[in-house]
Amino acid sequence: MSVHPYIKLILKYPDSFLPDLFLLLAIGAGLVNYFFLDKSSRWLLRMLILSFIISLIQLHDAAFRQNNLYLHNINSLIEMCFFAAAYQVELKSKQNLTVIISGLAVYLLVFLFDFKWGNIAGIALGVERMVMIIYALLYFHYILTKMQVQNLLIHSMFWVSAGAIVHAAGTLFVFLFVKATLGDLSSNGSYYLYITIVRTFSAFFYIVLGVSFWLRRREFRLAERFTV
Amino acid sequence: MKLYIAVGTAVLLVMAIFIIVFVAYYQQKQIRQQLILKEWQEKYRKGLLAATLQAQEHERRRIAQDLHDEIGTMLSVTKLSLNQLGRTVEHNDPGSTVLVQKTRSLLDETIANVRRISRDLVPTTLERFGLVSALEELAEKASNGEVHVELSCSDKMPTLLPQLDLTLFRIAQELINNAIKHANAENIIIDLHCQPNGILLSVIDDGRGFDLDEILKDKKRGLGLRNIESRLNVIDGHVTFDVEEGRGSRIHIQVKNLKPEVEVEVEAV
Repeated sequence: MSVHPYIKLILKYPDSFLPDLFLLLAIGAGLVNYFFLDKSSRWLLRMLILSFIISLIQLHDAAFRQNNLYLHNINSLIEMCFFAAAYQVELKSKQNLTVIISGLAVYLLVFLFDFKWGNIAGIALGVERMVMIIYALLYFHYILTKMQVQNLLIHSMFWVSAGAIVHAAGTLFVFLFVKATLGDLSSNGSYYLYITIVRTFSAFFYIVLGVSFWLRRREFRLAERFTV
Repeated sequence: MKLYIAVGTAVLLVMAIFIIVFVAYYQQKQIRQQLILKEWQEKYRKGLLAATLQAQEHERRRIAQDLHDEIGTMLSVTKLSLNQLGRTVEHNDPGSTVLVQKTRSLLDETIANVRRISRDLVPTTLERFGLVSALEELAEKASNGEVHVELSCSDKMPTLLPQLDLTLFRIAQELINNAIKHANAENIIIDLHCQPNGILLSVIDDGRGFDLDEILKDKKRGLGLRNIESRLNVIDGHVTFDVEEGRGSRIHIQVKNLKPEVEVEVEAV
């Protein structure tokens, strides 16, 4: 097996590996701070690791000119499930749990309906982003009503939610109208504009997740100092 | 279509950022308000405690005054009558003279006790001559054949607020009382020192000590120690108990803020 196609691919599309680089950095941050991570952060770390594995398979498929679009859909499914798991740990009330499960159920139904091997499941990915926004807003509501977080700006889950909401808001329309944005490769270079938008927001989300792992370490240390 | 997508994305992004900023701002504001509320509650609690202590001092003063002005006067008048009765009885019934003398000595003892109780209730020396003199008097009064109480003090003691004087005096009184009554101490040292960052009062004894946790666990016991903590709470003071069962105790009181937030009115004599 030659490595030549990989190098060729990297040289041809270097900017498309930017999100993967930040994904790797976020995983590194997660692993370095693994013992400080709470359950929700560990779910997010697992999500990143699986996303990275999918990204490697995508790279392999792209290098050998094979269809890898279905992997976007699989990645979305993994993101959604792990995201729901992370928020389910964090949002403890029954009402919140119902919203989380309902959101996941709606997504799964749309995913089953919209999934295609040869295309990006735009509606499923759009719904995923909408559900992500709902989870993030639910979490904001939770922290505003519970008032248990002393300093929000160093609270890891706040930044995860902020990152998720920005990432989801930035890419929602791109996927909802996937035929107009990413569907036509010959439309005066607009495909590259939208795919760059998607990559940029993905990279941003991975950076935020990486930062949130470090913040979690800080929160852990602070809690330890107050309880000793 | 592409323009709509771009505009829609931009609008959604702006909304998302607005929500994040709003949540962060609102939550921080709420937390600040919570802290202010907590501060107010703490201040109110302190004020309430200070008022209770003040009421306690008022009541002591009233009882002392009643004892001195009414009971004391009545006893003095009774003594005068008894003296007159004694002179009459001496001439008419010499056999009853012994009984009169016995009654007179009992009366003298009662008058002395009433005076002592009255003086203990209101520390007049503290109000007239300050904390050091009051502590000297306290040490002198507490010392007897079995117990020796000694005062060690800085040469230059600043003039403290009457409220601080009274709190430190009452605490010293309570600790000496505990050392004599409960710890069977023979030697007690009251150490009063002025530090650059406040006042340090230590009461050190060679008694049998006590288990602080056990005493504080039992709600029926440790009332005096809890009282000390309450008094210090009002003046932002701090107490350190270096105590253990079977050895002498060292109790340190530190007051850093010599101008406490909550002021307690102390009546002048």
